[in-house]
Order: sequence, then C-alpha cells, then structure tokens
Amino acid sequence: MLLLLSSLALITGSWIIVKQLKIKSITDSILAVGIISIAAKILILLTAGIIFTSLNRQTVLLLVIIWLAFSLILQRILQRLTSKQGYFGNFTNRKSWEQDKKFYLSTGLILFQNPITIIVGLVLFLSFYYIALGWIYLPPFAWDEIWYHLTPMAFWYKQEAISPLPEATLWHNYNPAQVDPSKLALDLSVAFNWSNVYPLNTELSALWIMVLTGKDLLVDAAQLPYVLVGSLATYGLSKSAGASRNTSLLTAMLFILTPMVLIQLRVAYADAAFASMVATSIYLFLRWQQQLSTKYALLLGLSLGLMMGIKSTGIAFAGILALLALFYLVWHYKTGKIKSRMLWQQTAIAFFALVLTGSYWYLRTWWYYGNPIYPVELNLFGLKMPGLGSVSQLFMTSNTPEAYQNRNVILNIFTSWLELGKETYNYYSRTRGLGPIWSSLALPAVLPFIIYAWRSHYTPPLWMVGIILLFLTIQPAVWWPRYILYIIPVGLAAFAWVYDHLQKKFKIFTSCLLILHLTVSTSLVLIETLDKLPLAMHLPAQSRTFGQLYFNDYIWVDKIPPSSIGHTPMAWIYPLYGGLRHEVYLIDGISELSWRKAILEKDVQYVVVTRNYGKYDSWAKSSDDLLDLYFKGDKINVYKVK
Amino acid sequence: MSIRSSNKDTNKEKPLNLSWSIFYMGSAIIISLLYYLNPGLSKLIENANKWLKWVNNF
Repeated sequence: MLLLLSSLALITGSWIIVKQLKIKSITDSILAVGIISIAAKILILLTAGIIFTSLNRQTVLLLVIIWLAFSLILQRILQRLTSKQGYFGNFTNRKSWEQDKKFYLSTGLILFQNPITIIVGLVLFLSFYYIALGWIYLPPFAWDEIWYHLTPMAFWYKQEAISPLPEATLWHNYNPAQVDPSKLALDLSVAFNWSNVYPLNTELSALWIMVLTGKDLLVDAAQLPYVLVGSLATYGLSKSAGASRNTSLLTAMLFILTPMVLIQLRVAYADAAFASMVATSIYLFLRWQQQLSTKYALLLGLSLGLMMGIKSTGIAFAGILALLALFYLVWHYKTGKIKSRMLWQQTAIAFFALVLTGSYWYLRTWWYYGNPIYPVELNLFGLKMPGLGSVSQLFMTSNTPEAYQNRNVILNIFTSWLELGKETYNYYSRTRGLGPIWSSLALPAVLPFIIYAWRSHYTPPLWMVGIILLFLTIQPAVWWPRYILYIIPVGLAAFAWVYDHLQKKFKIFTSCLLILHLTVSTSLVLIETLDKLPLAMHLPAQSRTFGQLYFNDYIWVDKIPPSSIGHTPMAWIYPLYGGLRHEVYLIDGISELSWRKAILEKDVQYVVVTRNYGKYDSWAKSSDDLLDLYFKGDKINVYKVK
Repeated sequence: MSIRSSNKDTNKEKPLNLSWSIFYMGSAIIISLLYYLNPGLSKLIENANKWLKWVNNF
C-alpha cells in the first residue's frame, strides 16, 4: 500500500510539473510524466542514501512529500509569474479536458476497431498477466541479478545508506597481470562484483520497492517503468516516421512483446530499460529539433542522463546525441533562426538535467578507481586512465559463443539479427532474442523506409536510422541481441510506415504473418521464462525460494531464523539475504588468522565458503574450534560459528 | 531539407510501389521460412508440446 501511495504521489508531483510545461502533444506529456517520475525516484533515493545516509521508509516518504510540495509551490510561482491558469485551471478548463477526453476515447476506440490491435492487445494483456504472476510467485534467479544487479540494493537497504560494497576497497590494487589468464574470468566474476563500477539507475527501482515494502517481492519488475516509457517512445517514433496512430499503437505494443524485452521484464537486468531510454532519447531529440524549446531541451537532458545512468555504453551515446544537438543549435544560431541567449539557455538546462540524473555513478567510480568507466581502460585524445583491459579483453572474449569465435563479425550479426541461432529464448541468449517480427517484418522495412524519406525530403526517418547506425559503430558485441535492443523501436517505426503504405492484399498477408510470429515467439518466451511458475503456484509462500526452486545449495537459507551470514568472495550473494530476512557480510582475509579474526569481528552466525575459490575452505576445515560444518552443497560449504 | 510535422496521418498517401512491395514481402517470407526451419521444425514441435504441457499444469 505504501509503495502504491508513494508511487502515486511521485507521479502526481510529476504530472503537476508537466502541466506547467504546457506541452501540446498528449503523448509527449505522458512521456514527460514518466521521465520526470523516474528521475525524481532516483534523486529521492540518492538523496536519502548518500546525503542523509538514512535510506529508510520514513526518509523516503518525507522526500516524496517534499517532492509533491515542491511541485505545488512551483505551480503557484509559475501561475503568478505568467498570470495564467495552471494545473487546476487546466483540469477545470473545459477545452483542455475535452481535448484529453477525446484523445483517450479515440485511442480506446482504435483498440476495439482494428482486429490486429485487438489480437496484439490480447497477447500483451496475457503476457503481462503471466509476467506479473512471475513477479509475485518466483524469486529473483537470473545469474547477473543475484550477482551484481540486486546484491548492492539489498546491501544498501540493510545499511540504510548508499556506499560501495566491501569488494571496492579489497580489490583496489588488483593486478590482472599477476593472475593466470584461466583464472582471470573467475576472479572478475567471483570477487570483483560489478556493482561497484557499473551505473545502477535501473536497479534503484528495485531499491525503491525494498525500502517501501521491506520485502523483495516484485523487485524483478525493476525495468517495468522504463519499458513503459520505451513503449510510448516507440509510439512517438512511429508517429514521427509518418505512420498512422493506429499502427503506431500497434508498434508500441510490439516493442514490449519483443522476445528479449519480455524476457527482461521478468528479471532485474538493465538491457530493456537501456533500450527504452535510448529510444526515448532519440524521440525527444527529434521533438526538440521540431520545437527548439527549452522544455524539450530539459526533457532531452533528463532522458540522456537516465540513459547514461543505466549502462556505461550510454555515456558514449549521450555524448553523440549531445554533440548532434549542439551542432544543430549552433547551425540555427549561425543562420539567425535563434538568438545566443536561447542557445546558452537550452545548452545549460539540458546539461544540468543530464548531470543531475546520470553522472553520480561515473563520479563514484572515478573517485574510487581514478577512471569513470573502470575497469575498462580509457585512452581518449591522449588522456589515459587506469583499467584492467579493453571491453573485448574483459567481457567479450569469454562471452562470445563458440560458433561466433574467429568468424567474420558480419556473419555473426547476420545470424543473430535474423534469429538463426540455436538457443532458446532465455535471458542470457546471445544468438536470439530480437524476435521474428523484427527479423522478417521490421528489418526489411528499413530500406524502403529511408529511401522514400530521402526522396520526399522527410528528415525524421533519416535522423533516427542515422543515429542508430552511429550507435552501432561504437557498440561492442553488436551480435548480442540484449545489448542492441535499441534497434527495435526504430525498426518498428520503419515497419509501421511500410505497413501503412502497403496495398490491401499485402497488408492482410503481413498481418497474418505478424500474428503467427507473435503467437509463436511469445509462447516460447513465456515457457522458458516462467518454467517454474506452475510448480511455484502450488507451493506455500515460504517454499517459493531460490534454494527450493532453482539451486539446492541455498535451501538452508530458508530453514534458519533471521541470522547474520558471512560469505567469502563469491558471485551469487543475493539469495543469502533470504528475501531480506538475513544480514549478509563479506568475510575475507589474506591469512587464516586474519580471516578468523574477520569472522569474530563481524559476529556472524554462519559462514558460506565457495569450495573452488581460494584457500578459504581449507582454513574453515582447520578451524574446528570455531566452525562446525552445517551444510554441504554442490559448490558451497556452510559452517556454523560456535 | 525542410522539417515536416510528425503529427500527420499518412494513410491517405500513395501506397508503396509494386517493386518495393515485392522486395518487402519476398524478404519477409524468406526470413520467416528461415526462422521456422531453424533450428528445425522438430525443435518447434518439441517446444509446442512443452508449451501444451505448461498450459496443462495450471
């Protein structure tokens, strides 16, 4: 209930602010409410966790109330300044209200008039229904979320403060050159914990849920707010491409039903959220170009900041879009279309919004490691910053599928983009995930889409395709579908335009193909993603855990009362929190003596040891005066402290 | 190049010419076939069976 009320208060505050911006387009107004709400949520959590170091329900609620009060005060000030009707005025303004009502009614009517939108709408509804059951009945289980996406959130929730995980200081002077190459990947994945170096805007949605509910139920829905915004941006891009409202609505739904987006809605990863914010940034860039107004500069800045705060690739994408926007502004200034005051005002506002919502994670990493994108080595214009290696060395070499190694990258792209891989639809799939609608209906639409736009001097399609191509040139592993999900909204915009311009007989055939693809791919995604759902729905709540559903090594976590658990360096830390019931601490040391000292200092009741990593297990075995073997798992041993 | 409004319903504009329509439909059909024939029809049927079992479990 508190989660619902706080989220509603957050959205209401954003709505009041957006009403003051007097954005004419209703789509853009809703999009602005989404972006400002997400930005406000991030700022509230960062303020509570870093400035007040009091990340608890009371502080967050107080900050939500302050946010609501701020929006009302801002509304009053703006009303006085402009002497015009504001939020309440607009709400009672018959014309505006009637206009809104007409828009919602006509959008609703579109849904019920067109059989294709009815079918796609139904598939979307069913998918959401089952994914929501997954959020309720299934615990977080995917590799990266229980390793570094959710672990810092649980740690911060318990500490009531946002601070680096202990690994940050322990691994400060790590030297990969001294590590055997075969052990490097394990070292990086076991002990380094990427949460100390990755931007974590998306994960803060999970923290929001933890702080307001005190539980981790629903934390897998962390990407939902972003994906909804991305769906709206897809609608906007399709409209900007020149498609009808009907088809644009169809593409908005198809974006969410893209296999990898749907898969990611079930897990607290960041790729679907990132793709959504890339699409939003491109859409707002186009809208800003058309309007050249300060309010769109503000929205663009917020969107770019949110995007770069999700994944490190976003900092490069934000740089490209910011430079393009700057060139565009300067060009308009040179040709006398805008004044210098407007140029500086818009640049400053967009930059301020970008820094506000996207810079924290990079400043943190810079402060701790001397490089904002550590551990990736930075060598730009003669500026060299420390790192452990290149993106390829650190991430891609070990993650490239065997069939893709030593093969031409074009062939790898061809295999993944055309859905020719042999993997199933799972969250880690590297050769599939864009879906048959993308490969067979959206991708072939891009060529006629840009050629017609070029011939008719219609610039938005050229901008959107051009920007995506620029992004792809700097994107590592372009064959990995979850990394390049941002190509989907633009592909769907191309499809929307072509679909609207097909002759009736071709259109009917395309519609049939679309429904077939959608039914097949969505069914396969739901089977794979929710395979444990039928079992979980038959189990009592206390048995629906990671240990009992996914990995027996963690089964003991559910059976002990709320305890203090210590662990040696390991990857899957999050399930140790047992639905946030337990306290979890890193227990490390360079010798047996210092390790034993750490156990006593932290006063933990259990110590989890990864058997295949370091000397910890032999130390534990020789410490029978301090530790008793409590549980023997497949990969871990659990000791009870005497 | 001029910038046009994006809020225009283009349904009334000219349809795609025949060669582009054939290019588009041809590509869509070939890629769809590749999708359903890879990793093989048997795999698809296997997945369909898995899906039916999953539905029955509810």
